[in-house]
Amino acid sequence: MIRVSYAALMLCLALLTTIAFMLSLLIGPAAIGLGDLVGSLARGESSTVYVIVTEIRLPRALLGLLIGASLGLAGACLQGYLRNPLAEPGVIGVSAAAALGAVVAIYTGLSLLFPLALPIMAIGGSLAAVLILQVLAGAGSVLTLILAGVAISSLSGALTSLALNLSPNPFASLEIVFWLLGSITDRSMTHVSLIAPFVFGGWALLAMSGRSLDALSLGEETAVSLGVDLRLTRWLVVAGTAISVGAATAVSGVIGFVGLVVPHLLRPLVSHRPSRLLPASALGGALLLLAADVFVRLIPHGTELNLGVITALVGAPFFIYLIIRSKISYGL
Amino acid sequence: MNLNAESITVSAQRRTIVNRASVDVNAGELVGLIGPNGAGKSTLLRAIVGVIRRDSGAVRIGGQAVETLSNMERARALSYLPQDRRIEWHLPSRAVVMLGRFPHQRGFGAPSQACEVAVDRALELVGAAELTSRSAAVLSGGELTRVLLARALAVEAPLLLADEPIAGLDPYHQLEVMEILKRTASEGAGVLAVLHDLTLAARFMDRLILLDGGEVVDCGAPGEVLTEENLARVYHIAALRAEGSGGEYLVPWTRLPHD
Repeated sequence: MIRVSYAALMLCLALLTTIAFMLSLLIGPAAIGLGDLVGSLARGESSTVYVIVTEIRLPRALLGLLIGASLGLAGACLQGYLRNPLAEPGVIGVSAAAALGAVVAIYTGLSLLFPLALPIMAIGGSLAAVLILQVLAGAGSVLTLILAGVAISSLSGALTSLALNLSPNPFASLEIVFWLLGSITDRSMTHVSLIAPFVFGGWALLAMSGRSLDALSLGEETAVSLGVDLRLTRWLVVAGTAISVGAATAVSGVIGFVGLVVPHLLRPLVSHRPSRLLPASALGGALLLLAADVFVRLIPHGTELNLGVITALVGAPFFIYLIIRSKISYGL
Repeated sequence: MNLNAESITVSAQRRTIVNRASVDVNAGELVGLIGPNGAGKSTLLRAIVGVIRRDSGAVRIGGQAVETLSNMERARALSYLPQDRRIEWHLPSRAVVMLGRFPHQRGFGAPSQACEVAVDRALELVGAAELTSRSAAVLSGGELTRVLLARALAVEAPLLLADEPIAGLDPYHQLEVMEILKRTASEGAGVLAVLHDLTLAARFMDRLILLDGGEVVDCGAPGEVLTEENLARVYHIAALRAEGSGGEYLVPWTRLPHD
């Protein structure tokens, strides 16, 4: 068993996240030194450095932080609630529904008339997914919830494909495909302020479920006998995930595997305690996404790789490794 | 604190599993709930705890209707050890036992001194103090049972309901758990335990409640309930009875034909 003090772990994660955030401000096509950055920010003038940092890189770094933390936190919550280490925000269909909302905005041309229509429709899509989940699996078992999530994912995926199929011109389909790949490039502070209230609200709901997740590690019967309200806990986890991850997906597109991998890596470091895993995974998610976003800028290549492509490229093999390891440990 | 469950009825899929069963447990009393497989013992226990819904009947804890208590108040008054002995994550044993303090804690802070003391006491009581830092995932069946029993004791509730607390234990640990339940009762708690071992039930329990087909068919001191007639009618068995140095004892011995 690995023994790390919880405070030391959190401090370490916070420090690394801060470093990744700073790198995200400094690294890009235009090289900016730490001195230039501090100098221009202190003078506050409209120098090139100031514009690049505040208009381009700061929104990108802030989005990396918010989205990564949402994915990590929601992943940890869902794994704790479903008591399944292979769960991630995608399993309840939220990401797919948010993506569908965004695709509809692009397909109908709404996003051209009014740029914020895209994130707003995506958030609407994820909220619709929550309502459907509550109707389908409101008081049902964990299995019902997962099945409802699979149904929502498939339906959203099918409708997204339909939109691509019927797309009026190749540019619209190209835009849809590109958006689906997931990225936080070329976003503005407007995007940050649009999703921030949803993200913070979602985090608050998720954080409130933490203690109940601990009790749930002894099974539902024991948890209920200890005073846990199962329906409330489920609502907190599902709504918190939909609101925070839905808002995240709304500006970034679909970014997979962060919510799966991060809680997994950090669990042994917090003595497997679900409540302690939540803040650790939030920081870990932010760290991973910021690092991945810095990494895509460092690859010398004509077109910048999309963030969602990188996380999937790293995440999918990790997923396969997890399956193989669990097969070995369960002797299947 | 007394527990009164009155005329509890539970049905599932149009089948009545528990039919107007009444159970009383007084403070300081160790009561055994016995009956053959499928008699409805676990279902009755779950319905009393509130893990499953009952169709009708009333549960009173210390004279108060259970519906008037908040979840946390009920959890502090009534501790429950389910049959299901599963721990999902590789939690350290001490963290498992600390979950018994769940209804006493609020917010996210570190556990209070009182909680630490209660956990130490519970671990001491079940003789699991040396297991505290070990992950619950690598415990043996007997160790796991004791850690989970310590979790139930750490609630320090005036009522303890245990579903087959000695299932899967070797004779040494069966006796140990029975002694712990007896001691918990003698310290003032009301304890209700589902048991299959009639020998131990006869020896340790103050009172037995015999359940058959979802109904309470007899209730009273072990000698009054474990009669030849009840064993034949409900369990379809005959028992050997003898007088030993420790008193009278009973061992299930032969099967009787079903009629």
